[in-house]
Amino acid sequence: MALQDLTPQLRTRLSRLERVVGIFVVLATVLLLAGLAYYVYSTAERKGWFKRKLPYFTYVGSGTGLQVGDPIRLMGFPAGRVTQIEAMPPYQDQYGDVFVQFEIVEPYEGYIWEDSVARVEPANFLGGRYIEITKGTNSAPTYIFDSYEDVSLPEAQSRTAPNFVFSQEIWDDAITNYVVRVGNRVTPAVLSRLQAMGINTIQISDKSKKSPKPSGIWDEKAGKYARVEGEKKKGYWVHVDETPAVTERLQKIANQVEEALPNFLALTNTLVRALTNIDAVARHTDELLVSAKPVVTNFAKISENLSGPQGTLGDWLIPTNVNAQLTMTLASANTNVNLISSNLLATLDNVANLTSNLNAQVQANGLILSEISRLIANADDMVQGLKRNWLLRGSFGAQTNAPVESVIKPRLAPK
Amino acid sequence: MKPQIPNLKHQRSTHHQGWCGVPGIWKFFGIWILAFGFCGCRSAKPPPEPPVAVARAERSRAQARGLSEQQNWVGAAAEWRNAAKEASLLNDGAREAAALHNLADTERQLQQYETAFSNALAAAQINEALGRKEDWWRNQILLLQIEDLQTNGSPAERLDRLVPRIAESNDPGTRGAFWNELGLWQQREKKLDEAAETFLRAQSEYEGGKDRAGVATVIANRAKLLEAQGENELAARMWADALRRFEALGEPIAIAHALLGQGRALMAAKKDLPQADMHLRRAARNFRHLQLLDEAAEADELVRRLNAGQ
Repeated sequence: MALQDLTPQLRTRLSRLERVVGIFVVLATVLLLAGLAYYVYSTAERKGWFKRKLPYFTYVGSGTGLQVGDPIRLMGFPAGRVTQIEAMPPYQDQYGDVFVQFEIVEPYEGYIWEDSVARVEPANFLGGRYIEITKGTNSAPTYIFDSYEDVSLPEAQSRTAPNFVFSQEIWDDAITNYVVRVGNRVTPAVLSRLQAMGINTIQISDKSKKSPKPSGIWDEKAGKYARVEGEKKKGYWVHVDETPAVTERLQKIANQVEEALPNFLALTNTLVRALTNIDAVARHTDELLVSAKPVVTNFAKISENLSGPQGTLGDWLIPTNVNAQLTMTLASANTNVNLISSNLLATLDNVANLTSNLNAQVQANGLILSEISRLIANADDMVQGLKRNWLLRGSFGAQTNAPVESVIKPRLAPK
Repeated sequence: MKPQIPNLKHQRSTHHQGWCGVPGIWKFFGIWILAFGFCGCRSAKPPPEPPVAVARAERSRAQARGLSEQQNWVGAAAEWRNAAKEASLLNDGAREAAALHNLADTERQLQQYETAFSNALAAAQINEALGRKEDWWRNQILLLQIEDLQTNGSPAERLDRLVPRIAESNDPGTRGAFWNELGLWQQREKKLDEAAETFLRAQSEYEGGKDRAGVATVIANRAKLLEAQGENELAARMWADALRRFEALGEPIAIAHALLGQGRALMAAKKDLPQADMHLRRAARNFRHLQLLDEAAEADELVRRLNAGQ
């Protein structure tokens, strides 16, 4: 029905309604767009779309458990993500078999220095791994954002203001101490020392001139910064400290246990032998004591005779039979003591090996056990939650145990 | 032509009945979407944790029940003793009596008849004080079983006392077990016809209660009674029926007894002797697997006699 067909009053009412609807639609659209914009903005902030990202790379022995998009951690924070994982071409694997490139989001690049290491750690017991970059402690930052240039020493004399600092590392001739370190102020004393060392040019940066993009990347070999161009655009090479995946470690442990088992059995055999020897020694000692009894009696007689007028000390003290007996006893005791000590030494060595192996295994297993424990606890929590869900609880059967009651069963006729 | 004016009054009245102009179909779907959105993701709050002592007692009972089902009688006895103690500490008479009853039953299996008797008696006293009639009946039947097994005991006096009252029990399983015990006693007393009648009553009670294990056991007892009555052929057929039922129930000990019984009855009836030999050998082997060496020896002796042609 066309609007013109209606009465004027109805037309007025309907056009008012249309206006209200129009305002509502516009408002809803504005709200929707505002919500979308806010969502996009918050997502961008959360994911760091507006932040500076700097490339780094490393080489690892195996790409197991690593994936593009995996977070990079730094001091426990997510500081970036993996952007590329590629196998190295054949015969070009001198640095590592797998090339891993990643980007670090500002401001975390400030913590990555020359001595930072990319530690590849097991993430879970299913073979996953993650990369954690260690914080730099004692060297140069990997990227520089200040303006810098290589200047001759005479020119450097004019750059001793507080905003000028060295952006180069120079060791003394003995290579034991730094003469110049990155970030040290330029002073005439240092410059004269450099002159004395025969150095002609030095790299100096101006802290007052900063740029949002990195002006240089650290060149480990040259000990100073280089322009980010050409090959350097690939990023900074962070050295790797790689731990194999948990599954590989478990396999190694299993192999180790398998290898250690014969040693352990040998150890038990050795222990049994040692105990047998100790038992034999104890028996010998007992025999020795029994055989020593007449000797003591003889000594008593000797002492009695010595107090008398007859007999010489030599005759009484060691008659021929006693001499032979004593020699035999001492020889036997000596042999036994040597045997015991050698057996004990072997036993102690084996025990030390065993405990060190056990210690290594316990250290390796600690993380896995806690992971497994957490997994089980979380899985239990989830299942308990599902059991209480009104939609799903029917699938789990009775929630309580059957009440305990006395049971009586019919008896078969006895014989 | 004058345009036709629609009945706006009617339209307006229906318009204001719902939610500010939301069409009915959207209202319908909206309610369901809201309901599912709200309830579908909703889980009830976890129940409060029971007190530590209650949880410990429940754990002991569950453990004991599991051990009893596995027929690990030594372990089960220790756990039922523990469960009885835990229930006593909580002043939970019903559970204490149940634990004592099951402890007594376990001790019966271990042939510790004196302690079994005293524990069953203690359970009966508690149930009597609490007015738990059905449990008290079960205690009484267990006492009957123990008295029958004790060398210096006899269930006669207790049976005389209970026979007039057995109808008080509402549980067909309990009544079936009682009649079964009475039948066994009558068989022992050589009242074979009375025993046959009593076993039939027991079987009928178990059938009424749909207790397949009870029915199978009574059939086995009837088979043995038939052997005593000299009806060996019939007994063999009844043993075969019992064997089939025990196989369906998966009861290893009862299966071994049924194999022995069937072999013995066939041997006595001098029918199908190769099958009798096979049954007896299988029974002997099964008894050995079950560590029931007396029964295994009996089966071996029967095999020996069968092969000797006696």
